[in-house]
Amino acid sequence: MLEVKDVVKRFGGLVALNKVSLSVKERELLGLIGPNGSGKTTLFNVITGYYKPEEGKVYYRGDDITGLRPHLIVKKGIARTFQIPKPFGRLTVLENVMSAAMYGRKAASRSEAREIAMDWLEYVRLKDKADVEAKALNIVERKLMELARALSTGPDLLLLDELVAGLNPSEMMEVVKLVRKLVDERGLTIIMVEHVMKAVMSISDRVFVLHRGAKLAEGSPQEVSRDPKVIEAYLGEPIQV
Amino acid sequence: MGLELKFTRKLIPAAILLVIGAVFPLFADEFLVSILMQAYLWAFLAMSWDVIGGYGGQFSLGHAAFLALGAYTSTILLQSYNISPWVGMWAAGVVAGAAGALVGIASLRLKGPFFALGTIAFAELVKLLLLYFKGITGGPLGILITKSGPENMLFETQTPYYYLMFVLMLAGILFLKWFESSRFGIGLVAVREDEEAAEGVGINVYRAKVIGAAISAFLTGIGGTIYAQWIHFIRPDILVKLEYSTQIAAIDVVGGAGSPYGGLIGALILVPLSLYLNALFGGMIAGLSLILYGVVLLIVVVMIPGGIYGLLRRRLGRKFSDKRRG
Repeated sequence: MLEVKDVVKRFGGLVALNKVSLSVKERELLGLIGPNGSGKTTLFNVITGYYKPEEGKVYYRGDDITGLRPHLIVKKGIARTFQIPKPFGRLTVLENVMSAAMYGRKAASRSEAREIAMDWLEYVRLKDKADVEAKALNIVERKLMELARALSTGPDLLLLDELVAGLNPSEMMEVVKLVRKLVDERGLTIIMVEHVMKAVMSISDRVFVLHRGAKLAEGSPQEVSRDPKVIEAYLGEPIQV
Repeated sequence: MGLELKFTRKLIPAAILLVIGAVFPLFADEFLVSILMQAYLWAFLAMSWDVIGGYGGQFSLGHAAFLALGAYTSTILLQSYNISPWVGMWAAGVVAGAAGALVGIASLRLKGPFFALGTIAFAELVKLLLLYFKGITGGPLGILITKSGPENMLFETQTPYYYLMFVLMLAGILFLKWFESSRFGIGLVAVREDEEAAEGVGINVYRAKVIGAAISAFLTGIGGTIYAQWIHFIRPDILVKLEYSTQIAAIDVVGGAGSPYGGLIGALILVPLSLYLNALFGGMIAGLSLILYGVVLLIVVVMIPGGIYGLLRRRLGRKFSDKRRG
């Protein structure tokens, strides 16, 4: 469904992504992990059009979408959330989510958008906050609103950037279950960047490990968590006695 | 209860104000009518500014240019081609709107204070062009409106102008009320709040800004026509003034930017105040009203963000919710 080929992204002398290739199949939940600064968010920004890669290509359903502007990528059916939530502060929660339905893939009318938005707000259990200004939300609610907003654009592929970071363990497991249900029940394809290992490992079909802008490992959660290279990247080199 | 409460809280005060506004000229003298009328006109201009300045978050200090472009377009059509301003005002809107789109394109590159500076420069440019093309604009001498009759939007007394501007102001409020919950309005506010996130939900940020500026300038241009019809005489240096651009922005910010009522509230306070101060000191201290706007603007921006309307809404909102809690 999504095919990232040999993508290189540099910031001045720093190589943030060094020939990264990654592919995702329809209805798959791919966990994207890696230490801080390994290029996870940069990769998201390349896929969703916020950054133009210096080299390499991004294909979505066979179309070359490399460097397409972000709003056009949304119309292709790819949506994302941001690591630090970006609410439209002075719009209500409902308007935030409605904007996505009106401008997203389907370009819904106002009344349709309202329905779509309410459905997703119910899904993330934020319906009772619909008429609150978004800036009044707490961090957990902001994250859930971002999820509802991304979903309202009507995506087939959803990119979640540290959705559960900052949540307490019980909230985290709730949200993680919601994400898994999106794949199992709604047929979405998801790539999730996550720092919380327990969250990624418990729900991902496959895990992709980035380290210093390059692929370090790829495989099932079990394989990856046993991989010595991965353990080394996270914990440092084993101590030689 | 909800609907009933809405009725008593919103519709009845609105109806009372509407009736007061409508019968005001029957009881007040021509001087007061003239002041209130000017307040309505400036309220409409401030509401026009609000589209890009308030909802769009692009602080323009060049709106006097759109006012002038509108005034010149309809006046030239009237004086040279005998086209009534009732028709010409739409052409005025289109010409000003096109100029607004250009300013919108500039806003893609110029952010914040640099955009404001850019719009000041743009207004100066418009003034120079109006002076330069003497053949069409009359250059520094301007154009005097010599026609007459209601069919040409020209009246003998102030009262018809009062109603004209009263209707204009009401139309402005209704437009903004519709606009702020429209698809485009929500999109434009989203762009103001966070450009990256706006792109992330599928909004074409460039397009939103350019169209927003064009709509704002279109409305200001129509206001320009009405203004010209009222003063009967236009000249580059009396229309394209930084003072006017500042006044438009200041009224809206003081009243409450990004709301349908901000323009009216601001105009009802600042227009009489500046007319009074100018009558008092005008001859002695040049540019006094400019200083006034600067000071008031500064106070409001620092002390009451959201303007007077925002303040009222917060205060009243709290009072009502307290009451409900008992």
